[in-house]
Amino acid sequence: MGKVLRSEFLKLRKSAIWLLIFVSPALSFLVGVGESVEDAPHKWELAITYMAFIHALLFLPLLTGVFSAFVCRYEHIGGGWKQLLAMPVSRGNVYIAKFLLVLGLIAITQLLFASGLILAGQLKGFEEAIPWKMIAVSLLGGWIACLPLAALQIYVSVAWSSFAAPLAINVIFTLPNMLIVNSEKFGPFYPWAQPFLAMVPTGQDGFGAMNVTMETLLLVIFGSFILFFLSGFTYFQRKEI
Amino acid sequence: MNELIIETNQLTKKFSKRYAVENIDLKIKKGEIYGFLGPNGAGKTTTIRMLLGLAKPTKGSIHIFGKDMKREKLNVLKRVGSLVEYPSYYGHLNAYENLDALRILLDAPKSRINEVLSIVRLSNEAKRPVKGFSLGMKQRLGIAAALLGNPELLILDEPTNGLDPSGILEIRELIKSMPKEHGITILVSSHLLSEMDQMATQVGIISKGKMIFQDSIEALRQRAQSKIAIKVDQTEQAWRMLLSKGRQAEMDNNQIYLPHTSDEEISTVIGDLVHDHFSVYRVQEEKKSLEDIFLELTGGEGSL
Repeated sequence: MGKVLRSEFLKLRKSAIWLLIFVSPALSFLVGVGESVEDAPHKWELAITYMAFIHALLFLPLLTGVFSAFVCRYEHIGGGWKQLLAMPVSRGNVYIAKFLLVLGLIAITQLLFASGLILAGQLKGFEEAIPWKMIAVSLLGGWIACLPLAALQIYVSVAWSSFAAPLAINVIFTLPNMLIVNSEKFGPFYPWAQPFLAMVPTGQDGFGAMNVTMETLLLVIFGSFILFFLSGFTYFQRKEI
Repeated sequence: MNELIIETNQLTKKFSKRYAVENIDLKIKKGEIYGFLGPNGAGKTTTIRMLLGLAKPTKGSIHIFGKDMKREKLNVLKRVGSLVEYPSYYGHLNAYENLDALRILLDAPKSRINEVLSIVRLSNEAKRPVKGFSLGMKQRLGIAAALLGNPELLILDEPTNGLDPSGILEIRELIKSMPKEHGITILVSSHLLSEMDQMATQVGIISKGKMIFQDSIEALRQRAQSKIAIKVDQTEQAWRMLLSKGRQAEMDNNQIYLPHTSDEEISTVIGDLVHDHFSVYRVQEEKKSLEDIFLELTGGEGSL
Protein backbone atom coordinates (compact mmCIF):
# COMPACT_ATOMS: atom_id res chain seq x y z
CA MET A 1 0.00 0.00 0.00
CA GLY A 2 2.81 2.40 0.89
CA LYS A 3 4.45 1.78 -2.47
CA VAL A 4 1.27 2.54 -4.37
CA LEU A 5 0.73 5.75 -2.42
CA ARG A 6 4.29 6.90 -3.01
CA SER A 7 3.99 6.21 -6.71
CA GLU A 8 0.65 8.01 -6.89
CA PHE A 9 2.02 10.96 -5.00
CA LEU A 10 4.93 11.22 -7.40
CA LYS A 11 2.53 11.38 -10.33
CA LEU A 12 0.36 13.97 -8.60
CA ARG A 13 3.19 16.12 -7.29
CA LYS A 14 4.24 17.29 -10.73
CA SER A 15 0.75 18.03 -11.95
CA ALA A 16 -1.09 21.31 -12.18
CA ILE A 17 -3.64 20.35 -9.51
CA TRP A 18 -1.87 22.36 -6.85
CA LEU A 19 -3.07 25.63 -8.31
CA LEU A 20 -6.68 24.55 -7.86
CA ILE A 21 -6.56 24.00 -4.13
CA PHE A 22 -6.05 27.73 -3.60
CA VAL A 23 -9.08 28.87 -5.57
CA SER A 24 -11.82 28.20 -3.09
CA PRO A 25 -9.99 29.30 0.08
CA ALA A 26 -8.93 32.50 -1.67
CA LEU A 27 -12.44 33.36 -2.85
CA SER A 28 -13.93 32.46 0.52
CA PHE A 29 -11.38 34.69 2.16
CA LEU A 30 -12.53 37.61 0.00
CA VAL A 31 -16.12 36.92 1.00
CA GLY A 32 -15.08 36.73 4.64
CA VAL A 33 -13.38 40.10 4.39
CA GLY A 34 -16.15 41.71 2.37
CA GLU A 35 -19.19 40.67 4.38
CA SER A 36 -20.35 43.06 7.02
CA VAL A 37 -20.66 41.41 10.42
CA GLU A 38 -20.02 44.50 12.59
CA ASP A 39 -23.22 44.47 14.63
CA ALA A 40 -23.69 40.73 14.90
CA PRO A 41 -23.06 39.03 18.23
CA HIS A 42 -21.39 35.86 16.94
CA LYS A 43 -18.98 37.20 14.39
CA TRP A 44 -16.96 34.04 13.87
CA GLU A 45 -20.06 31.93 13.38
CA LEU A 46 -21.44 34.42 10.96
CA ALA A 47 -18.19 34.69 9.03
CA ILE A 48 -17.83 30.96 8.70
CA THR A 49 -21.44 30.70 7.51
CA TYR A 50 -20.93 33.37 4.87
CA MET A 51 -17.71 31.81 3.73
CA ALA A 52 -19.25 28.37 3.67
CA PHE A 53 -21.85 29.62 1.23
CA ILE A 54 -19.15 29.97 -1.34
CA HIS A 55 -16.83 27.23 -0.22
CA ALA A 56 -19.01 24.38 0.99
CA LEU A 57 -22.12 24.99 -1.06
CA LEU A 58 -20.34 25.42 -4.35
CA PHE A 59 -16.61 24.87 -4.50
CA LEU A 60 -16.11 21.94 -2.18
CA PRO A 61 -18.45 19.62 -4.13
CA LEU A 62 -17.01 20.87 -7.41
CA LEU A 63 -13.44 20.42 -6.25
CA THR A 64 -14.16 16.94 -4.96
CA GLY A 65 -15.24 16.06 -8.48
CA VAL A 66 -12.26 17.77 -10.06
CA PHE A 67 -9.79 16.05 -7.75
CA SER A 68 -11.35 12.65 -8.40
CA ALA A 69 -11.37 13.13 -12.13
CA PHE A 70 -7.84 14.43 -11.99
CA VAL A 71 -6.21 11.50 -10.24
CA CYS A 72 -7.77 9.24 -12.88
CA ARG A 73 -7.14 11.52 -15.82
CA TYR A 74 -3.46 10.84 -16.31
CA GLU A 75 -4.16 7.14 -16.27
CA HIS A 76 -6.87 7.47 -18.89
CA ILE A 77 -5.06 9.71 -21.35
CA GLY A 78 -1.70 7.98 -21.44
CA GLY A 79 -2.99 4.42 -21.26
CA GLY A 80 -1.66 4.23 -17.73
CA TRP A 81 -4.26 1.83 -16.38
CA LYS A 82 -3.01 -1.16 -18.31
CA GLN A 83 0.59 -0.48 -17.41
CA LEU A 84 -0.24 0.18 -13.78
CA LEU A 85 -2.44 -2.88 -13.36
CA ALA A 86 0.05 -5.17 -15.08
CA MET A 87 2.41 -4.26 -12.26
CA PRO A 88 2.53 -6.40 -9.15
CA VAL A 89 0.01 -4.24 -7.31
CA SER A 90 -3.47 -5.18 -6.25
CA ARG A 91 -6.32 -3.31 -7.81
CA GLY A 92 -7.79 -2.71 -4.38
CA ASN A 93 -4.68 -0.85 -3.26
CA VAL A 94 -4.66 1.25 -6.40
CA TYR A 95 -8.28 2.24 -5.86
CA ILE A 96 -7.76 3.05 -2.20
CA ALA A 97 -4.61 5.04 -2.99
CA LYS A 98 -6.46 7.16 -5.54
CA PHE A 99 -9.23 7.73 -3.05
CA LEU A 100 -6.82 8.73 -0.30
CA LEU A 101 -5.19 11.24 -2.63
CA VAL A 102 -8.55 12.89 -3.19
CA LEU A 103 -9.21 12.99 0.53
CA GLY A 104 -5.75 14.45 1.08
CA LEU A 105 -6.36 17.19 -1.44
CA ILE A 106 -9.69 18.03 0.17
CA ALA A 107 -8.03 18.11 3.57
CA ILE A 108 -5.45 20.60 2.34
CA THR A 109 -8.21 22.73 0.86
CA GLN A 110 -9.99 22.69 4.21
CA LEU A 111 -6.86 23.79 6.06
CA LEU A 112 -6.36 26.62 3.61
CA PHE A 113 -9.99 27.60 4.11
CA ALA A 114 -9.38 27.78 7.86
CA SER A 115 -6.35 29.97 7.33
CA GLY A 116 -8.51 32.22 5.17
CA LEU A 117 -11.14 32.41 7.87
CA ILE A 118 -8.71 33.23 10.64
CA LEU A 119 -6.92 35.77 8.50
CA ALA A 120 -10.20 37.45 7.60
CA GLY A 121 -11.19 37.55 11.26
CA GLN A 122 -7.89 39.11 12.27
CA LEU A 123 -8.04 41.66 9.49
CA LYS A 124 -11.49 42.76 10.55
CA GLY A 125 -10.46 42.77 14.18
CA PHE A 126 -13.02 40.35 15.69
CA GLU A 127 -12.77 40.95 19.40
CA GLU A 128 -13.94 37.46 20.35
CA ALA A 129 -11.26 34.82 20.78
CA ILE A 130 -10.78 32.47 17.87
CA PRO A 131 -13.27 29.63 18.40
CA TRP A 132 -10.85 26.81 17.60
CA LYS A 133 -13.23 24.08 18.52
CA MET A 134 -16.00 25.35 16.30
CA ILE A 135 -13.62 25.80 13.41
CA ALA A 136 -12.18 22.33 13.87
CA VAL A 137 -15.63 20.75 14.00
CA SER A 138 -16.67 22.64 10.91
CA LEU A 139 -13.57 21.70 8.93
CA LEU A 140 -13.61 18.09 9.96
CA GLY A 141 -17.36 17.88 9.39
CA GLY A 142 -16.97 19.30 5.91
CA TRP A 143 -14.17 16.89 5.15
CA ILE A 144 -16.11 13.88 6.37
CA ALA A 145 -19.16 15.04 4.47
CA CYS A 146 -17.10 14.89 1.29
CA LEU A 147 -16.51 11.16 1.73
CA PRO A 148 -19.67 9.92 -0.02
CA LEU A 149 -19.29 12.44 -2.80
CA ALA A 150 -15.62 11.59 -3.30
CA ALA A 151 -16.47 7.88 -3.38
CA LEU A 152 -19.17 8.52 -5.95
CA GLN A 153 -17.01 10.78 -8.09
CA ILE A 154 -14.03 8.48 -8.11
CA TYR A 155 -16.29 5.64 -9.16
CA VAL A 156 -17.56 7.67 -12.11
CA SER A 157 -14.07 8.94 -12.96
CA VAL A 158 -12.59 5.46 -13.02
CA ALA A 159 -15.43 4.16 -15.14
CA TRP A 160 -15.39 6.91 -17.76
CA SER A 161 -12.28 7.69 -19.69
CA SER A 162 -13.57 11.19 -20.37
CA PHE A 163 -12.41 13.96 -18.09
CA ALA A 164 -15.32 16.26 -18.85
CA ALA A 165 -18.22 13.85 -18.39
CA PRO A 166 -17.81 13.19 -14.65
CA LEU A 167 -17.27 16.91 -14.12
CA ALA A 168 -20.34 17.86 -16.09
CA ILE A 169 -22.42 15.47 -14.01
CA ASN A 170 -20.90 16.92 -10.89
CA VAL A 171 -21.73 20.48 -11.89
CA ILE A 172 -25.29 19.53 -12.78
CA PHE A 173 -25.81 17.99 -9.36
CA THR A 174 -24.02 20.77 -7.49
CA LEU A 175 -26.06 23.64 -8.90
CA PRO A 176 -29.38 22.71 -7.22
CA ASN A 177 -27.59 22.71 -3.86
CA MET A 178 -29.06 26.11 -3.01
CA LEU A 179 -32.55 24.71 -3.13
CA ILE A 180 -31.82 21.35 -1.66
CA VAL A 181 -30.20 22.59 1.55
CA ASN A 182 -33.53 24.22 2.29
CA SER A 183 -35.26 20.91 2.33
CA GLU A 184 -35.26 19.15 5.65
CA LYS A 185 -36.35 15.98 3.90
CA PHE A 186 -33.88 15.65 1.05
CA GLY A 187 -30.96 17.79 2.13
CA PRO A 188 -29.21 15.32 4.39
CA PHE A 189 -29.43 12.59 1.76
CA TYR A 190 -28.01 14.64 -1.07
CA PRO A 191 -24.25 14.00 -1.30
CA TRP A 192 -23.60 17.38 -2.88
CA ALA A 193 -25.35 19.24 -0.04
CA GLN A 194 -23.76 17.32 2.80
CA PRO A 195 -20.50 19.32 2.95
CA PHE A 196 -22.40 22.55 3.48
CA LEU A 197 -24.73 21.08 6.07
CA ALA A 198 -21.78 19.71 7.97
CA MET A 199 -19.72 22.88 7.82
CA VAL A 200 -22.24 25.46 8.87
CA PRO A 201 -22.39 25.73 12.67
CA THR A 202 -25.76 24.48 13.88
CA GLY A 203 -27.75 26.98 15.86
CA GLN A 204 -31.25 28.06 16.74
CA ASP A 205 -31.72 30.14 13.65
CA GLY A 206 -30.98 27.48 11.08
CA PHE A 207 -33.23 26.84 8.18
CA GLY A 208 -34.34 23.76 6.27
CA ALA A 209 -31.98 20.82 6.48
CA MET A 210 -29.71 22.74 8.82
CA ASN A 211 -32.01 21.75 11.64
CA VAL A 212 -31.11 18.14 11.11
CA THR A 213 -28.92 16.95 13.95
CA MET A 214 -25.26 16.21 13.41
CA GLU A 215 -25.86 12.59 14.46
CA THR A 216 -28.41 11.98 11.76
CA LEU A 217 -26.22 13.67 9.20
CA LEU A 218 -23.17 11.63 10.12
CA LEU A 219 -25.17 8.44 9.99
CA VAL A 220 -26.40 9.23 6.51
CA ILE A 221 -22.93 10.29 5.42
CA PHE A 222 -21.20 7.15 6.60
CA GLY A 223 -23.97 4.93 5.29
CA SER A 224 -23.87 6.36 1.82
CA PHE A 225 -20.08 6.52 1.85
CA ILE A 226 -19.82 2.80 2.50
CA LEU A 227 -22.39 2.08 -0.19
CA PHE A 228 -20.71 4.23 -2.85
CA PHE A 229 -17.20 3.21 -1.98
CA LEU A 230 -17.92 -0.49 -2.05
CA SER A 231 -19.79 -0.22 -5.36
CA GLY A 232 -16.86 1.59 -6.97
CA PHE A 233 -14.33 -0.71 -5.36
CA THR A 234 -16.07 -3.87 -6.62
CA TYR A 235 -16.55 -2.34 -10.02
CA PHE A 236 -12.84 -1.58 -10.29
CA GLN A 237 -11.90 -5.10 -9.23
CA ARG A 238 -13.87 -6.49 -12.13
CA LYS A 239 -13.20 -3.82 -14.71
CA GLU A 240 -11.61 -5.05 -17.92
CA ILE A 241 -8.73 -2.85 -18.90
CA MET B 1 14.87 -26.23 -21.50
CA ASN B 2 11.52 -27.94 -21.59
CA GLU B 3 10.06 -25.96 -18.79
CA LEU B 4 6.89 -24.21 -19.94
CA ILE B 5 6.88 -20.55 -18.98
CA ILE B 6 3.43 -19.84 -20.36
CA GLU B 7 0.78 -22.46 -20.71
CA THR B 8 -2.84 -21.76 -21.42
CA ASN B 9 -5.56 -24.31 -21.61
CA GLN B 10 -8.67 -23.75 -23.72
CA LEU B 11 -8.33 -20.02 -23.14
CA THR B 12 -11.48 -18.31 -24.33
CA LYS B 13 -12.80 -14.77 -24.26
CA LYS B 14 -16.28 -13.97 -25.38
CA PHE B 15 -17.56 -10.42 -25.86
CA SER B 16 -21.34 -10.56 -25.74
CA LYS B 17 -21.89 -13.01 -28.60
CA ARG B 18 -18.60 -12.83 -30.41
CA TYR B 19 -15.62 -14.98 -29.59
CA ALA B 20 -12.53 -12.77 -29.52
CA VAL B 21 -10.36 -15.68 -28.47
CA GLU B 22 -11.44 -19.28 -28.67
CA ASN B 23 -9.82 -22.31 -27.07
CA ILE B 24 -6.25 -21.14 -27.32
CA ASP B 25 -3.56 -23.45 -26.00
CA LEU B 26 -0.40 -21.40 -25.83
CA LYS B 27 2.75 -23.28 -24.98
CA ILE B 28 5.90 -21.24 -24.55
CA LYS B 29 9.13 -22.78 -23.38
CA LYS B 30 11.86 -21.12 -21.39
CA GLY B 31 14.31 -19.06 -23.42
CA GLU B 32 12.15 -18.91 -26.52
CA ILE B 33 11.26 -15.88 -28.53
CA TYR B 34 7.68 -16.71 -29.25
CA GLY B 35 6.24 -14.82 -32.18
CA PHE B 36 2.53 -14.34 -31.76
CA LEU B 37 1.23 -13.59 -35.21
CA GLY B 38 -2.10 -12.73 -36.64
CA PRO B 39 -3.93 -10.16 -38.70
CA ASN B 40 -5.29 -7.07 -36.96
CA GLY B 41 -8.24 -7.96 -34.78
CA ALA B 42 -7.40 -11.65 -34.62
CA GLY B 43 -7.32 -11.68 -30.83
CA LYS B 44 -3.64 -11.15 -30.07
CA THR B 45 -4.10 -8.22 -27.73
CA THR B 46 -7.09 -9.81 -26.02
CA THR B 47 -4.99 -12.91 -25.34
CA ILE B 48 -2.17 -10.79 -23.96
CA ARG B 49 -4.54 -8.83 -21.73
CA MET B 50 -5.74 -12.09 -20.25
CA LEU B 51 -2.17 -13.27 -19.72
CA LEU B 52 -1.48 -10.10 -17.74
CA GLY B 53 -4.65 -10.30 -15.70
CA LEU B 54 -6.10 -7.13 -17.26
CA ALA B 55 -9.09 -9.06 -18.58
CA LYS B 56 -10.75 -12.15 -17.22
CA PRO B 57 -10.98 -15.25 -19.39
CA THR B 58 -14.51 -16.42 -20.11
CA LYS B 59 -13.22 -19.96 -19.92
CA GLY B 60 -9.93 -21.78 -19.62
CA SER B 61 -6.84 -21.44 -17.48
CA ILE B 62 -3.51 -19.63 -17.60
CA HIS B 63 -0.34 -20.85 -15.95
CA ILE B 64 2.74 -18.66 -15.97
CA PHE B 65 5.95 -20.01 -14.39
CA GLY B 66 3.76 -22.98 -13.54
CA LYS B 67 1.55 -20.81 -11.34
CA ASP B 68 -2.15 -20.33 -11.74
CA MET B 69 -2.84 -16.72 -12.76
CA LYS B 70 -6.15 -16.75 -10.96
CA ARG B 71 -4.58 -17.46 -7.61
CA GLU B 72 -1.08 -16.07 -7.79
CA LYS B 73 -1.45 -13.08 -10.05
CA LEU B 74 0.76 -10.68 -8.12
CA ASN B 75 3.56 -13.21 -7.63
CA VAL B 76 3.56 -13.86 -11.36
CA LEU B 77 3.40 -10.20 -12.36
CA LYS B 78 6.47 -9.43 -10.26
CA ARG B 79 8.50 -11.46 -12.75
CA VAL B 80 6.82 -10.20 -15.92
CA GLY B 81 7.55 -7.08 -17.92
CA SER B 82 4.98 -5.96 -20.42
CA LEU B 83 4.05 -3.49 -23.09
CA VAL B 84 0.45 -3.69 -24.22
CA GLU B 85 -0.84 -2.31 -27.50
CA TYR B 86 0.38 1.27 -27.45
CA PRO B 87 2.86 2.68 -24.97
CA SER B 88 1.61 4.00 -21.66
CA TYR B 89 3.04 7.15 -20.22
CA TYR B 90 2.34 10.11 -17.98
CA GLY B 91 2.68 13.12 -20.23
CA HIS B 92 3.26 15.63 -17.45
CA LEU B 93 6.27 13.72 -16.14
CA ASN B 94 9.64 13.36 -17.78
CA ALA B 95 11.03 10.00 -18.86
CA TYR B 96 12.94 9.51 -15.64
CA GLU B 97 9.93 10.28 -13.44
CA ASN B 98 7.73 8.03 -15.55
CA LEU B 99 10.00 5.13 -14.83
CA ASP B 100 10.41 6.17 -11.21
CA ALA B 101 6.65 5.96 -10.62
CA LEU B 102 6.80 2.33 -11.79
CA ARG B 103 10.11 1.53 -10.14
CA ILE B 104 8.60 2.28 -6.74
CA LEU B 105 5.93 -0.34 -7.39
CA LEU B 106 8.52 -2.91 -8.41
CA ASP B 107 10.89 -2.24 -5.51
CA ALA B 108 13.72 -1.91 -8.03
CA PRO B 109 16.80 0.15 -7.19
CA LYS B 110 16.97 3.72 -8.51
CA SER B 111 20.06 2.89 -10.55
CA ARG B 112 17.95 0.57 -12.68
CA ILE B 113 16.19 3.59 -14.22
CA ASN B 114 19.37 4.84 -15.86
CA GLU B 115 20.25 1.33 -16.92
CA VAL B 116 17.02 0.76 -18.81
CA LEU B 117 17.10 4.28 -20.22
CA SER B 118 20.50 3.58 -21.73
CA ILE B 119 19.34 0.19 -23.05
CA VAL B 120 16.65 1.92 -25.10
CA ARG B 121 18.92 4.91 -25.76
CA LEU B 122 16.83 7.52 -24.06
CA SER B 123 19.47 8.66 -21.58
CA ASN B 124 19.79 12.02 -23.28
CA GLU B 125 16.04 12.62 -23.20
CA ALA B 126 15.56 11.54 -19.59
CA LYS B 127 14.67 15.01 -18.32
CA ARG B 128 12.24 15.96 -21.07
CA PRO B 129 8.47 15.80 -20.47
CA VAL B 130 7.15 12.74 -22.24
CA LYS B 131 4.25 14.57 -23.87
CA GLY B 132 6.78 16.02 -26.31
CA PHE B 133 8.11 12.59 -27.28
CA SER B 134 7.58 11.08 -30.70
CA LEU B 135 5.67 7.81 -30.92
CA GLY B 136 8.91 5.94 -31.41
CA MET B 137 10.41 7.45 -28.28
CA LYS B 138 7.29 6.65 -26.28
CA GLN B 139 7.51 3.12 -27.58
CA ARG B 140 11.09 2.85 -26.40
CA LEU B 141 10.13 4.29 -23.05
CA GLY B 142 7.46 1.58 -22.85
CA ILE B 143 10.07 -1.06 -23.51
CA ALA B 144 12.30 0.49 -20.88
CA ALA B 145 9.40 0.27 -18.44
CA ALA B 146 8.92 -3.38 -19.32
CA LEU B 147 12.58 -4.08 -18.55
CA LEU B 148 12.57 -2.14 -15.28
CA GLY B 149 11.92 -5.02 -12.94
CA ASN B 150 14.49 -7.39 -14.46
CA PRO B 151 11.70 -9.66 -15.69
CA GLU B 152 12.08 -13.33 -16.51
CA LEU B 153 9.27 -13.06 -19.00
CA LEU B 154 8.70 -10.19 -21.37
CA ILE B 155 5.34 -9.74 -23.05
CA LEU B 156 5.57 -7.21 -25.84
CA ASP B 157 2.51 -6.41 -27.89
CA GLU B 158 3.51 -4.93 -31.24
CA PRO B 159 6.73 -3.43 -29.87
CA THR B 160 7.93 -2.05 -33.18
CA ASN B 161 4.72 -0.18 -33.92
CA GLY B 162 5.46 3.37 -34.93
CA LEU B 163 9.22 2.97 -34.99
CA ASP B 164 11.36 4.02 -37.92
CA PRO B 165 13.46 1.37 -39.70
CA SER B 166 16.54 1.95 -37.60
CA GLY B 167 14.44 1.85 -34.45
CA ILE B 168 12.85 -1.42 -35.58
CA LEU B 169 16.28 -2.89 -36.16
CA GLU B 170 17.47 -1.72 -32.77
CA ILE B 171 14.51 -3.19 -30.93
CA ARG B 172 14.77 -6.41 -32.89
CA GLU B 173 18.42 -6.82 -31.98
CA LEU B 174 17.58 -6.01 -28.38
CA ILE B 175 14.85 -8.64 -28.30
CA LYS B 176 17.09 -11.22 -29.93
CA SER B 177 19.91 -10.60 -27.47
CA MET B 178 17.84 -10.99 -24.32
CA PRO B 179 17.23 -14.73 -24.21
CA LYS B 180 20.92 -15.33 -24.90
CA GLU B 181 22.26 -12.88 -22.35
CA HIS B 182 19.76 -13.12 -19.55
CA GLY B 183 17.75 -16.25 -20.20
CA ILE B 184 14.60 -14.19 -20.59
CA THR B 185 11.61 -15.71 -22.33
CA ILE B 186 9.82 -13.38 -24.71
CA LEU B 187 6.34 -13.33 -26.13
CA VAL B 188 6.17 -10.79 -28.91
CA SER B 189 3.12 -10.16 -31.00
CA SER B 190 2.99 -8.69 -34.45
CA HIS B 191 0.93 -8.62 -37.58
CA LEU B 192 4.11 -8.57 -39.63
CA LEU B 193 5.40 -11.98 -40.53
CA SER B 194 8.67 -10.70 -41.94
CA GLU B 195 9.48 -9.25 -38.55
CA MET B 196 8.85 -12.54 -36.78
CA ASP B 197 10.86 -14.35 -39.39
CA GLN B 198 13.88 -12.41 -38.26
CA MET B 199 13.66 -12.96 -34.55
CA ALA B 200 11.20 -15.63 -33.44
CA THR B 201 12.21 -19.16 -32.59
CA GLN B 202 8.63 -20.34 -32.10
CA VAL B 203 5.57 -19.10 -33.87
CA GLY B 204 1.92 -19.12 -33.00
CA ILE B 205 -0.49 -17.91 -35.63
CA ILE B 206 -3.92 -16.78 -34.58
CA SER B 207 -6.76 -15.93 -36.89
CA LYS B 208 -10.31 -14.96 -35.94
CA GLY B 209 -9.61 -15.92 -32.36
CA LYS B 210 -8.38 -19.39 -33.13
CA MET B 211 -4.86 -20.76 -33.06
CA ILE B 212 -4.20 -22.16 -36.50
CA PHE B 213 -0.50 -22.90 -36.26
CA GLN B 214 1.92 -23.36 -33.39
CA ASP B 215 5.37 -24.74 -33.96
CA SER B 216 8.96 -23.72 -34.53
CA ILE B 217 9.77 -21.17 -37.18
CA GLU B 218 11.63 -23.92 -39.09
CA ALA B 219 8.48 -25.98 -39.26
CA LEU B 220 6.74 -22.98 -40.74
CA ARG B 221 9.55 -22.50 -43.23
CA GLN B 222 9.37 -26.14 -44.26
CA ARG B 223 5.86 -25.53 -45.37
CA ALA B 224 7.35 -23.19 -47.86
CA GLN B 225 8.10 -26.04 -50.20
CA SER B 226 9.28 -25.12 -53.60
CA LYS B 227 7.81 -26.15 -56.95
CA ILE B 228 9.41 -26.49 -60.33
CA ALA B 229 7.82 -24.33 -62.99
CA ILE B 230 8.37 -25.20 -66.64
CA LYS B 231 7.46 -22.93 -69.48
CA VAL B 232 7.01 -24.58 -72.90
CA ASP B 233 5.49 -23.58 -76.21
CA GLN B 234 2.39 -25.80 -76.21
CA THR B 235 1.56 -25.96 -72.55
CA GLU B 236 -1.57 -28.05 -72.69
CA GLN B 237 -0.22 -30.79 -74.93
CA ALA B 238 2.98 -30.96 -72.92
CA TRP B 239 0.97 -31.20 -69.73
CA ARG B 240 -1.17 -34.07 -71.12
CA MET B 241 1.95 -35.86 -72.24
CA LEU B 242 3.49 -35.61 -68.77
CA LEU B 243 0.25 -36.78 -67.15
CA SER B 244 0.11 -39.74 -69.51
CA LYS B 245 3.58 -40.69 -68.28
CA GLY B 246 2.28 -40.69 -64.76
CA ARG B 247 3.84 -37.42 -63.57
CA GLN B 248 2.07 -35.30 -60.98
CA ALA B 249 2.02 -32.24 -63.12
CA GLU B 250 -0.27 -29.28 -62.70
CA MET B 251 -1.08 -26.61 -65.18
CA ASP B 252 -1.61 -23.05 -64.13
CA ASN B 253 -0.91 -19.66 -65.59
CA ASN B 254 0.20 -21.21 -68.87
CA GLN B 255 2.99 -23.00 -67.05
CA ILE B 256 3.51 -26.54 -65.87
CA TYR B 257 4.24 -27.13 -62.21
CA LEU B 258 5.94 -30.15 -60.78
CA PRO B 259 6.29 -30.88 -57.09
CA HIS B 260 9.80 -30.52 -55.74
CA THR B 261 11.83 -33.58 -56.86
CA SER B 262 15.40 -34.65 -57.41
CA ASP B 263 17.63 -33.24 -60.15
CA GLU B 264 17.57 -36.57 -62.03
CA GLU B 265 13.77 -36.55 -62.16
CA ILE B 266 13.78 -33.06 -63.60
CA SER B 267 16.31 -33.95 -66.22
CA THR B 268 14.19 -36.98 -67.26
CA VAL B 269 11.12 -34.73 -67.57
CA ILE B 270 13.01 -32.23 -69.69
CA GLY B 271 14.35 -35.10 -71.81
CA ASP B 272 10.82 -36.34 -72.41
CA LEU B 273 9.66 -32.86 -73.39
CA VAL B 274 12.52 -32.34 -75.79
CA HIS B 275 12.07 -35.81 -77.21
CA ASP B 276 8.44 -34.98 -78.07
CA HIS B 277 9.55 -31.74 -79.77
CA PHE B 278 8.27 -29.28 -77.26
CA SER B 279 10.33 -26.12 -76.97
CA VAL B 280 11.37 -25.62 -73.38
CA TYR B 281 11.73 -21.91 -72.62
CA ARG B 282 12.30 -21.84 -68.93
CA VAL B 283 12.74 -24.19 -66.00
CA GLN B 284 12.74 -22.52 -62.62
CA GLU B 285 12.26 -23.25 -58.98
CA GLU B 286 9.42 -21.29 -57.40
CA LYS B 287 9.52 -20.88 -53.67
CA LYS B 288 6.45 -20.13 -51.67
CA SER B 289 7.21 -17.27 -49.35
CA LEU B 290 6.25 -17.28 -45.70
CA GLU B 291 3.78 -14.60 -46.63
CA ASP B 292 2.03 -17.00 -48.96
CA ILE B 293 1.79 -19.59 -46.23
CA PHE B 294 0.56 -17.04 -43.78
CA LEU B 295 -2.11 -15.91 -46.20
CA GLU B 296 -3.00 -19.50 -46.89
CA LEU B 297 -3.31 -20.28 -43.20
CA THR B 298 -5.33 -17.21 -42.38
CA GLY B 299 -7.57 -17.70 -45.38
CA GLY B 300 -6.22 -14.71 -47.23
CA GLU B 301 -7.70 -12.07 -44.97
CA GLY B 302 -4.42 -11.12 -43.37
CA SER B 303 -2.94 -7.81 -44.25
CA LEU B 304 0.80 -8.00 -44.16
